[in-house]
Amino acid sequence: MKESNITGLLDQKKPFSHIAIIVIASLATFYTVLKQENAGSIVDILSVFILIVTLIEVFIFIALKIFTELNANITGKEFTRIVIKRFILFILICFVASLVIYLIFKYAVTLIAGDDLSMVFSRFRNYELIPWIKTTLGGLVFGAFIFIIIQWQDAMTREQKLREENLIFQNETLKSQVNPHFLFNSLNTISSLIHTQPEAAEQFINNLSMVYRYILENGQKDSVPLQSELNFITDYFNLHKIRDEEKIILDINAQDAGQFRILPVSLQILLENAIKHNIASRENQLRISIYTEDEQIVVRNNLRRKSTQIVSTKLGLKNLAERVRLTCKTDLVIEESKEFFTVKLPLIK
Amino acid sequence: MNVLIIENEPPAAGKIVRLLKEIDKSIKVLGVIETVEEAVNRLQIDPRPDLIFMDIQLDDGL
Repeated sequence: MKESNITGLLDQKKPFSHIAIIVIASLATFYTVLKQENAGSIVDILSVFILIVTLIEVFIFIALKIFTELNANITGKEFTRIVIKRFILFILICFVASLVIYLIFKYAVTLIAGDDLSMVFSRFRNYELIPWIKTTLGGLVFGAFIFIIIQWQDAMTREQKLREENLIFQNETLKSQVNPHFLFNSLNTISSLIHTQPEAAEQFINNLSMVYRYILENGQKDSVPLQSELNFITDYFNLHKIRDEEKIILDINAQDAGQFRILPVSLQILLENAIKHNIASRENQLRISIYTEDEQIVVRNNLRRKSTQIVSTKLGLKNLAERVRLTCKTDLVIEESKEFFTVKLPLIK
Repeated sequence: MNVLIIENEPPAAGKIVRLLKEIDKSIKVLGVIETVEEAVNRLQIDPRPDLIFMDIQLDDGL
C-alpha cells in the first residue's frame, strides 16, 4: 500500500517531518509568548519551545503506533468501531504521556534554576493544571484532525484501487470468455456434435449458456458462494470434456464448500490456465484437482508443459493475484515443482 | 483415395469423417491422429496418405 502524502509528511524517519514539527512548534511558542502579558526570558521561551517539540514528537509517535496497523484492510462498520476505540486509547495515552513529560520537564527546569523541587507538584496542581489540560487538548484536536484526514485518504485510495482492479478484471474475464477463439471452438464443437450426437450437442449448448449466464450474473460481484463457483467451473469443464474426452480429468473435493465464499470466475481462470498450458493426451492425461484446505482452495495439476510456447500475456493470473490481494487481504500462493503446478486461493468466510 | 486426419478433438474428427463419406463413399480414412508425436511416427511408415487433414494445434503442441 502506498503511503498517502500526509502519512509521508508525518513519517518520523524522514527529516522533513521534524522540520515541519519545529516550524509548528515555533508558531505555537510564538503564540504562547504573545498571549502572556509579561514575556519571559529567552530561557523561558526556549524551554516552552522544547516542551512543545517534545510533545508533538511524542504525540505523533503514539498516533503512528496506534493507527498505522489500521492500514491493514478493514472496511465498513468494523472500521469505524476500531477507529473510535483506538482514538479513545490514543487520547488516554497522550494525556498520560503529556503529564509525565510535562512534570519531568518542570522538575528539570526547577533543578537547573536551583529552586525548591518540592514546590513543583503543588504549583502544577494549583496553577498550571488548567493551562496544561488546555494545551494538551488543543494539540490532540489538531492531531486528531490530521489523523482523520490520513485514514480517510487511505480508505479512498484503497477503494479506488479496488474499483480499478475490478474493472480490469471484469474486462479481462469478458474478453477471455467472449474471446472469438472460445466462441469459435464452441460453435465448431456444436456443429460437429449436432448431427451424430444430438443429445451431447444439447448438453453442450446448455453448459455454454450456463457459463455465460454465470459470468453475466456474477462477474461484477465481490464474492459468490463457493458452491456456485464450483458448479460453474464444472459446466465450464464439461465444455472442454466434450471436446477432449478422457484426456483431462477434474477432481473436485470440497465438502465444506457451504462455509465459504470466493471471488467470482477466479477458479475458472486457474482451470483455463491449466488446460491451456499443459499437454493433455490419452497417454498423458491432464489431471486437475481442486480441493479445500485451511480456508484456501487449492488448484493443482500435473505439470507437462507444451513444448511450444503458448502465446500468453500472463494477465489472467497477474490480475487474479492482484484482486485476491486487494479483496482477501492475503496473497495468492503459486507453487511450481517439477511435477505439479499448484495455486492456493484464499477463501472468504 | 487414402486420407489421414490429424485432429485432437474427437467430435471435430468425427465430423470430417462423416463429411468425407457423404462426398464419396470410396474415400478410405487411414486413421485419426491426435498428437504431433504420433503424426511424425505415422508419416514414416506406409501406406502414405494421399491427403491429410491437419489441425493447427494439437494436444502436445503446434
